[in-house]
Amino acid sequence: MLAKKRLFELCLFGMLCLAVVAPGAVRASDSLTVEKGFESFCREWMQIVTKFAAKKMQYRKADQGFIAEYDGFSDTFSTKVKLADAAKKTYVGILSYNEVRFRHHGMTPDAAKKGPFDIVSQSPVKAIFMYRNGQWQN
Amino acid sequence: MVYEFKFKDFVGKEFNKNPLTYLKKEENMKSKAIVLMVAALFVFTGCSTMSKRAKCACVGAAAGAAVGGTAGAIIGDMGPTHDNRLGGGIIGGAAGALIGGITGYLVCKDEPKPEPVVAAAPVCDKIVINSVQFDFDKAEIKAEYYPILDEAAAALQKPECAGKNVTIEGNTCDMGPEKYNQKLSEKRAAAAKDYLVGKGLAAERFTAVGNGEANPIADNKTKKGRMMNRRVEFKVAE
Repeated sequence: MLAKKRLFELCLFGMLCLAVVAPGAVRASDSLTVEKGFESFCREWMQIVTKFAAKKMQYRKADQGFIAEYDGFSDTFSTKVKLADAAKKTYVGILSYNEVRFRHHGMTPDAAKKGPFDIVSQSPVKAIFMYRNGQWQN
Repeated sequence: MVYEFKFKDFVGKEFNKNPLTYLKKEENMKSKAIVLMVAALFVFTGCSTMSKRAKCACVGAAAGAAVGGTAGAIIGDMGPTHDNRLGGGIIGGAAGALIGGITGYLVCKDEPKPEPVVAAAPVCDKIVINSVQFDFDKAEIKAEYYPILDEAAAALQKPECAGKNVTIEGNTCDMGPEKYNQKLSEKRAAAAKDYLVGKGLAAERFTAVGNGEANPIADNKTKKGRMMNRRVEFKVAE
């Protein structure tokens, strides 16, 4: 009888611990999923803009040959996610990367286009996104 | 005169022994419990500053200690004298901590540190906002998008940006007439400016302009590309 009572008390204690820890664990798991989702979202976003940037390459005639130039993006980026509204499960994601101006000199337009390109200048950019209705929004 | 002491333990079982022995035992248990609590506190405090892998080992050890300790106490309590709870708890806790710690260490791996993207000296970044969607033919910013603009406002108020002039550029996709898109982009840039000024940022810092559909960052042939092109950029003057 006494052993049963002890067992009941221990179970009660265990359930109490679970009730305290579980909601936090679920929230942490949600945040982790949203953060991972943002990383893949940003990777895709960076791929799209990088691919498109190369299409906007411009040529100009130099003293000797041609100069090809375009505004592209850094290979690396970093992300940060903040909870904006816990009730609505809204998050704000910040993607940090560099805008990079690439340039290459060649004797013909094709040679200039081939590269390899030099980095002329870089400037930091923060792109801010929002997570609503279960997805990151463009 | 002989006094007979009758004590009750924590579950109400009557305890009839030399009171000094009982008190010593109780004191001993208390001190052990305090030592365990202090140790747990050290473990958790230490965990917060560790690497991911060490944290996992730490959390695993703590969870293992809790489970092992409880199990050990239950097993220790099963004997006829019910007096091995503490011993069982300690042995179980230690074994649980060891198993949990090793498991936690093996399961998690430290993530490689990302290469720094931005230069060390603080620079006022250009800010791009994509997720603010406007209703068709509208330039009002809906309340649900305020957190994004609040983030932009906070960035523009940082010391490295303070007092610097900012050009707010509105951009559209290529759907619809060009002149219409030009006007729409101007209105959207102006709406973003109004919001920031409403947040207490100095109006004279901002110039709102519209690029229309002239400055895409993605292909207008796809729906995703068009969404990416409908954006507002905050360019800070050097």
